[in-house]
Amino acid sequence: MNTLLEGLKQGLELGSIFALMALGYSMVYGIVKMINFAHSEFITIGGFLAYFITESLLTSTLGSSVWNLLIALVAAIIVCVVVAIITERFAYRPLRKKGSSRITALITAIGVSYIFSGIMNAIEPEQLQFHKFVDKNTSFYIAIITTAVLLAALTFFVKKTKIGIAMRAVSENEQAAKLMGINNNFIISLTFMIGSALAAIGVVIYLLDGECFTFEIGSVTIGLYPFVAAVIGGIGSLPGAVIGGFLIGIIRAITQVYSNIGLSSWVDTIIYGIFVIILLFKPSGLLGKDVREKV
Amino acid sequence: MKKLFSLLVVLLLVCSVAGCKEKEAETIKIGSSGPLSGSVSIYGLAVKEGVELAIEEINAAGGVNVNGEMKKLELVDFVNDEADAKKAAAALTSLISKDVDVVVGAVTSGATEGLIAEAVKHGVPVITPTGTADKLTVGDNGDERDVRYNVFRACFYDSYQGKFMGEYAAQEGVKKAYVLYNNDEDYSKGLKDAFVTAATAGNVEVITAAYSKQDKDFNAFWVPILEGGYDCVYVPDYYENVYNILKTGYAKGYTGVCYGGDGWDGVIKQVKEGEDASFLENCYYTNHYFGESESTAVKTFVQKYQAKYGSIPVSFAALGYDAVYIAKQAIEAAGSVEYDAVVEALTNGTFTGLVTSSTPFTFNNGNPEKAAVVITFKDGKEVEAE
Amino acid sequence: MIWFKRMNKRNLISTVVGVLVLTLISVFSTKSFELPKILNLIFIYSIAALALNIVCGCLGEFVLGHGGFILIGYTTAVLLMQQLSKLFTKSMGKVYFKEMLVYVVRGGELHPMGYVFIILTVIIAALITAVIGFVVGLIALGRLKGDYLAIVTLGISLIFVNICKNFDKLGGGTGISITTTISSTPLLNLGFLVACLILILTFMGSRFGRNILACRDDNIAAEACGVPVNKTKVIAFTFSSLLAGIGGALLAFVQPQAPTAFGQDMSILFLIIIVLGGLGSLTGSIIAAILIVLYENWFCVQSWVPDFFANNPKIIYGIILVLIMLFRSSGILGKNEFTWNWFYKMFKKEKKVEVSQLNESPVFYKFAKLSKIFGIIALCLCYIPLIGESLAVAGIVFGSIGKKSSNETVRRVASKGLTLSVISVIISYIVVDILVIILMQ
Repeated sequence: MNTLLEGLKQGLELGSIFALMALGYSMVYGIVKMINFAHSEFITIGGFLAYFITESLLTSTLGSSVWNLLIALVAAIIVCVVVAIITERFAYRPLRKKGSSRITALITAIGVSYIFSGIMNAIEPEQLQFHKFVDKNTSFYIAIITTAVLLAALTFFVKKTKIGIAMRAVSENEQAAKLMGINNNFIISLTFMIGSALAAIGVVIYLLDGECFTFEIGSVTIGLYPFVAAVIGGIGSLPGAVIGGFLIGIIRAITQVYSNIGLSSWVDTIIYGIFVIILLFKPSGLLGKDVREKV
Repeated sequence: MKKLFSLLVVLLLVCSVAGCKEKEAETIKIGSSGPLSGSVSIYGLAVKEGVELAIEEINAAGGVNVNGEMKKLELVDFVNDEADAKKAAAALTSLISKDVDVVVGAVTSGATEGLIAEAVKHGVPVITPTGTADKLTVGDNGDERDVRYNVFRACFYDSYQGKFMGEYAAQEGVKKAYVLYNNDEDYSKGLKDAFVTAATAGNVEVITAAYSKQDKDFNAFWVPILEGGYDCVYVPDYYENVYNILKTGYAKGYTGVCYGGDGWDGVIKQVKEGEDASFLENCYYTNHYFGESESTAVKTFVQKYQAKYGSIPVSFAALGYDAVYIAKQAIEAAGSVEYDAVVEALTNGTFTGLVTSSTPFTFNNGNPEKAAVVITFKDGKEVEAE
Repeated sequence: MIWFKRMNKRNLISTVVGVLVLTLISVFSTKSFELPKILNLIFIYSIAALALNIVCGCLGEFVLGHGGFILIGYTTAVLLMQQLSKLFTKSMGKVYFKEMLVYVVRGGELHPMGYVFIILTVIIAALITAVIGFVVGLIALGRLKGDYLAIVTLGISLIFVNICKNFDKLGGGTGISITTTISSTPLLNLGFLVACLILILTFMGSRFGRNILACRDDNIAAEACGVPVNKTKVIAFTFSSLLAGIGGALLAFVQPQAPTAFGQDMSILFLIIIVLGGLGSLTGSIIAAILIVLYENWFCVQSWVPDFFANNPKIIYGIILVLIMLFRSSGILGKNEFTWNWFYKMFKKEKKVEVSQLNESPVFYKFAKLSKIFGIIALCLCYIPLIGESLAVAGIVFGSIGKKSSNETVRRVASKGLTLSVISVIISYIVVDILVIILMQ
């Protein structure tokens, strides 16, 4: 029983991190109908930057205090946001202007993620260890609370503020939004910014308790799970992404906690199996909307 | 007219280029491959240093006596295979095209398997200094010795290591053992299988659990261990993951011992400055030799290594060094550098005076008969246990 | 076989000559060490790329799970061969079936019985893969579109990888292999490539092929015209997994690989290949496969290339992808095929241009003409190291100057010269290397 509880606790913590990243995927897909494969690289970049800053600040007067972490967090967010904007501006926007097909956009995203991943590999191929700021228990609460707060804030932003409504408009119908006087390009850039900021926050929370990580943290360690979570929960639905994230996190943790009966090697099959089954029976995800294609 | 002229030019060029391929029988060429970058680069670099030291020493003493003629050794290339099987296979092909006489490689078991897949096509003698997987010399089902007849290793093999540790566990009075292994590494799985068999035979209760190479957060994996009250955890993986796992476990309150294999070599280097690693004092692992042993062979080797490189050699360096000396003894016994002759000398000869083995040994199915050393930690350094 | 009859005599002879040249190269390549591996991979990757192109390029459905089917082909072939090899005896590096020599491990010589075994295994493995592909296609293609389909197929392929990883008999951590018992030769792989091409051309030329192309352009319009869209998609997917199975099975006899190597990375690599070559262009996929295999196995290994390229192939692939998508999103060949017609047109004389009629400097025309002449000569003499290359470089320079002309004919001449020079540069590197390797042994 205790094992199960521990597993659930781990799962919720991991899940909240997946949820934050899934929100990013979901929002971007909702707006530009493109799977941003490069999102995993935003995660890596955020992690690396946070690591380097905390390491250099450790020796200063700030030591291992909360301020050290906060500065690193802010810096990671800023850098991630900048990278996201640059990627959007130079790699994705020209394609949107040309009216290219979805395959083209997807492939470009893959290309961009490969470039970033390669650069990170060249910079630091060794395993790094983030400084331990808090212990496991505290980091659990931090993760859950942050996710809840951010989810609430985002939902409020999207439902009540003008810019949020503009985002929903663009995601529903780009042409009509333009006719209404909305600056599409700005809204899209903003979405990317928010998505990558969430990714940066997510990865820092993950690393808080002294985790070891490599340059593959975005593409392999965290990998496709947030995307799977976003799709399961329903692309375009914020609470859906969060639920998906928690679901995937809990499944992963449960398989690890019961690794003694050999469950852990099947985690991929289980998660992708659930993914495929859900998509086959409810393609728009658990909380997504069903959109009919009109001729 | 133009066509005739161009044809002549081509013929001339081709002949001149072909002429350049006179076989240089002046030196004995040794080729090597290992990971010089990536997460196990410590091993590749150590083997490289051991190999280079051995070659230097042998050449300084006059070289290798091939049927009366003294020939020097030459390290043609140490290819960076990044512990990847495909790259190691490509490395072997490029070494063969450089006319190597003996291949000392690869370093990791997975890469060596790839290298061997190519090597059996040429029959070149392969001495892997540190490849410990069982199947390297005898194939998946143990029946390929006559296809892999040219493959030998300078170290003990995994089922020996795992069995040793399993018996050690039973000996030390372990009641319940938990094996946490890497499902993506043959090395890890080989050790796990041997350990389980030996420990179970010694009346130890054993449970196994796997993780994959993408797992970096081991908190959840320790939960069943702490719940189940295990007093021994066997972690047969490489040092990066091992350190991570051990740290996580002891931080969560684990109080038992941890055992491991030769992949633990390098764990001590993972400890960050000022970090409390006293939990390592409960950890033991099997290794090929102990750098601060009192035996003369070890002491001399360590002295020479320190003189050249300034640090204490890890076991992989000693094995690389030994592999070259094994090659030397085999070539001298064979009296030639022909592949078949050297392979025969390796199969039938006795080898003496090596750093990692205090007694002479022969090869049995490509495996040397050698003993393991158990190492533990005290005050941030490695010491010999038992 | 309509396409066969449609070819005029010159094209037919060119094709036969081309195949003969490849056959000769394959047979003599065994004298070298690196060449057989490269040729094997070229042929196998071409087959797998063609398989993916049928679904992505011809059908228009985006599928990311290619690696999974190649894995199934690979694993089935290895398992089948392992069962078969229980009937073999081995001694001193030779593999015997009853009294008959099948394969010599030293030197890698395959005897006729060996060919039979490999061909049998490959065909059976391919059929099994096709059956699994049929089931997957039935489930997935009917209900999903676009990006969702891509991710679901990726997920399914990852499930396959996971299953194989967990059972040691199916692959485990570092994979199962059969190359120490039997491995194949470039000639065999070339044979399979030719067979697959004939299969594909027949299939695409038939009613099924036309249905597939119709679906690509517009699903709903096709349905309205009476094309059974769902059935066609499943058929295309099954055919594609059949070819992928052939590729994977052949791979089993060439190089041992772990199940994890067939996951995301391989699927994306083949995606890169067909995008590079041009979605929907069959010859484009082959050309792109050649480029990628040469890059990975020849370029990165050369001593004059800095380690950076070998250690970080992903960066280069990423840059290639992004550049292609931004500047020439249809790939090298776009939707066109490499035809002999196009090739021979390079040499044809252009309509004479009256120099006096040009309202620009005659320099352009002169350069354009020179570029074409240099291009042709470079193509003939490309095997001579310095002369051929300098001619080609001159041809490229002149050609690019000539292309700036305002006269259409002049531009065409210049672009012909440019193309010829570029081709001769590429051939000079490849041909010279091959010749040197073959003649050096």
